[in-house]
Amino acid sequence: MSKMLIRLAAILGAWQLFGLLLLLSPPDSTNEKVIRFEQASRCREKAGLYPLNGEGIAAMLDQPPQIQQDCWQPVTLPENNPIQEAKVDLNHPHLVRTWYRVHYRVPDDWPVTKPLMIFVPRVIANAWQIKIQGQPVADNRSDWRSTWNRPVSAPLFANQFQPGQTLDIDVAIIASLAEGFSIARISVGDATILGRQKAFREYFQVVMPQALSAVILLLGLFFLSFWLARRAETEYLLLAFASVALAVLNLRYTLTQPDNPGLDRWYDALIIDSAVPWINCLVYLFIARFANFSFPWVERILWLHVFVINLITFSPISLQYDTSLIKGATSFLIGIVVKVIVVWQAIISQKIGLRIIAVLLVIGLFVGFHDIALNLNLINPEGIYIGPYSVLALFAGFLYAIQRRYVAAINGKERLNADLTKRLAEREALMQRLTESEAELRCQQCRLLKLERAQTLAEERHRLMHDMHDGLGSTLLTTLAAIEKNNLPQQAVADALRSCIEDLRLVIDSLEPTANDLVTLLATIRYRLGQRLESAGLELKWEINDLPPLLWLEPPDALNMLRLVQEALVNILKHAKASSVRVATRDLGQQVEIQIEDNGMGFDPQTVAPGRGMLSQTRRAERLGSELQIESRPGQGTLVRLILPVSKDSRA
Amino acid sequence: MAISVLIVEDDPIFQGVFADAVNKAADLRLVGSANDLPEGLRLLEQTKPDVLLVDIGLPSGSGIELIRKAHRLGLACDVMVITVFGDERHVLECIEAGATGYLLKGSKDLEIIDQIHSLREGGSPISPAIARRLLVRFNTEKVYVGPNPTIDKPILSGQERTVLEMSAKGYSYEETARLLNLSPRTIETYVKRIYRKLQVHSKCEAIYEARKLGLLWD
Repeated sequence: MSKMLIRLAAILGAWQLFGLLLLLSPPDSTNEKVIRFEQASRCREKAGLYPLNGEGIAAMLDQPPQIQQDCWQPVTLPENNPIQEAKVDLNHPHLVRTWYRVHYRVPDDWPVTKPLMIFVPRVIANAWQIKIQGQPVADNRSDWRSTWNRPVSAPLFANQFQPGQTLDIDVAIIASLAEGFSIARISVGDATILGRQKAFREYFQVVMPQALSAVILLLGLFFLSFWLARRAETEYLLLAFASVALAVLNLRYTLTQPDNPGLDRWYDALIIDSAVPWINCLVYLFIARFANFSFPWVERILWLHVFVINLITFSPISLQYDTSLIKGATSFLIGIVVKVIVVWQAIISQKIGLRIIAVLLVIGLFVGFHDIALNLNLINPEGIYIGPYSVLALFAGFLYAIQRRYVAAINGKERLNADLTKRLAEREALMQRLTESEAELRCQQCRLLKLERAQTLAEERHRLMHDMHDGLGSTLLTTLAAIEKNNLPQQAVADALRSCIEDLRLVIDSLEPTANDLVTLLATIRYRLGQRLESAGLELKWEINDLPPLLWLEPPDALNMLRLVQEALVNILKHAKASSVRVATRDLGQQVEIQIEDNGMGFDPQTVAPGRGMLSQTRRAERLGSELQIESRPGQGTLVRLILPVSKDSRA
Repeated sequence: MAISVLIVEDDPIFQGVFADAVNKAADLRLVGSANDLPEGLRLLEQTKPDVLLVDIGLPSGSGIELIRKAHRLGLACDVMVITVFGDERHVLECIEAGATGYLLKGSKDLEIIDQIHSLREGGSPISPAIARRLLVRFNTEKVYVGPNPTIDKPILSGQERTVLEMSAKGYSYEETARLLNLSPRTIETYVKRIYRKLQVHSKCEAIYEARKLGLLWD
């Protein structure tokens, strides 16, 4: 239903748009009630010495025509720049009046009540006047300074013509010798049709630039409010100022230059001379800030240009010399530099917004060429100035670039929000699932824990089995076999069993929960072996100090440790023939050291090959991840150092 | 007067070893030997010995029960636990129950006699592992010390703590005595005192816990 409605509305809208286009379409210039002259006769008066001001123009307009009959020449309209001579010298004749004459025959059936009109879409000159049958009917002395942008028109009323009459229509152009002039085709005919054409041209040449200025100022207000909300983003303030400068620039299409000399200088300064430097500067700065590039020297040149131009305009120099060319040329050149930089940045930065701005700037450059060419009488004067339109396009580009940035930001935020919402939902779902399967999970965890425990148990069992088999088991079996063969003395049996029990004690001690306490382990060794050492006549010097706990020291390592130290002590007991043994610990920070030193006979490590006992000691030390150093010299005793890392991580 | 000794041990060989050792000493008198818990309880009540040698792993129940019984009877009886390796967890439980000494199976006669004498004179043996455990326990646990249940009050004196610390590092009583400028005997009595404190401490704890659970009233 609503789709249907939308379709109907679209059709209606299209129909109404068509009607609007009909209303806005340019009037038909090939109407038979209008004659557009492409052929005319031209006659140029002698140049005169008139000042280029209101009075001079008025005097020139009031001067009777000075035309010799033979001066008329046939010409084709539109015509560009038919005169061009030496440079302007205000002390020599420099203003000249040129007459264009066409012959118009009023149709025989023309109703006398219906007015006619003479219409020339554009004359680029200093002033114009129209005469019918030698009688002046219109001139533009009141706003002669706007000649370049106002259509030429003069209505003819019933008392000025008769049906069937052939009228001599003269259009006079006043222009400077140096600048020349141009003139579009002359149309004569039905005043209602030509009046519409005139209105149409005025609309696009005068009204529209004004409307665009208003739009641009409004956008400037928008950017200003934007900046007020986000002070850090100065590019929007720059753009607001740029919009003011552009609106001021557009004033030239509407606002007539005043005759008052003081106001005239203001007009020159604001609208003609400094508007473009300001625009160059502000637009460039906006783009640079917006697209995030910075060339300080360019910015300095732009600011310098703005100041210098204003200085020149208000200095006495501009009274003596015509500085407009310098101003215009520097503005133009700097404008090109700005555009080149922006285009270059657009190419390397690959930002769509910047690229669109660059394209619009380049288009604006060609639009500028067109308008300058029109102003310099180089192209068909019937065209219109399109600068204001390209400025609007440029602003549209700015808006688009800003819109892209903000839409991207908003989209990003929305995506983020959506992502967050999604993740939240996922988390909630997960929580839900967690709650639902908590019991199950707990059960699983239970199983895992059980499994782990079972694994640890299995490992321990394996280790114990291994120890029993290799150590205790084999010693017991050997002893048993020897007893059965009856060739073992009782003392040997007791010794064998005692060693078995000692080993068993080590295994049990290594399973103590305090096993990672190295000091307690050493203390336990003394507790087990102390009496045996003392009864063998060995003096024990116990120098054990506190050590940091070795967290990595698990029961298997503890057993290795116990065996290693016990073995070292038993070796001293058996081989060293020592009278005292010193057991000491040292805290080395990242490592701890155990020293076992005897004062026995010692040996020469260079000559004595390491025996089985030594090899197994080294292997134990390796398994512990520790360093075993044995220092000995014959007759000097032996020092065994065992260096263990405090944490396994620090062991590189 | 000779010291009366009661042996409760299920292994006949070890019972023999201990009995022989006691009989060898002139000032020790064996007042009975039992090989299970009921017999041991009966003999304990009947003979009221000065020293009780008891194995924990008896066929008809734990020897700890016997230790508790000895205390319930209010006997001035030194309890000595017979253990294979000084298997520390059990030894500690026995100390909590009231034992103040322990004997390793495999000890020679002379050692046994020496240990009994030492115990009778107020000394107790200690192993590094037991010392370490006691340090941990006295360090971490809150103690019931009267109506204000959570006041922290060190149970051990500084010297007692030093004795435990030295023992945990493997230093002998003689070495500790030199350090503290005391006699080795004094050190031994310190250890016995520590054991008693542990016993009282465990009792207090039990009462405190029971009160909290509402099992006991003042």
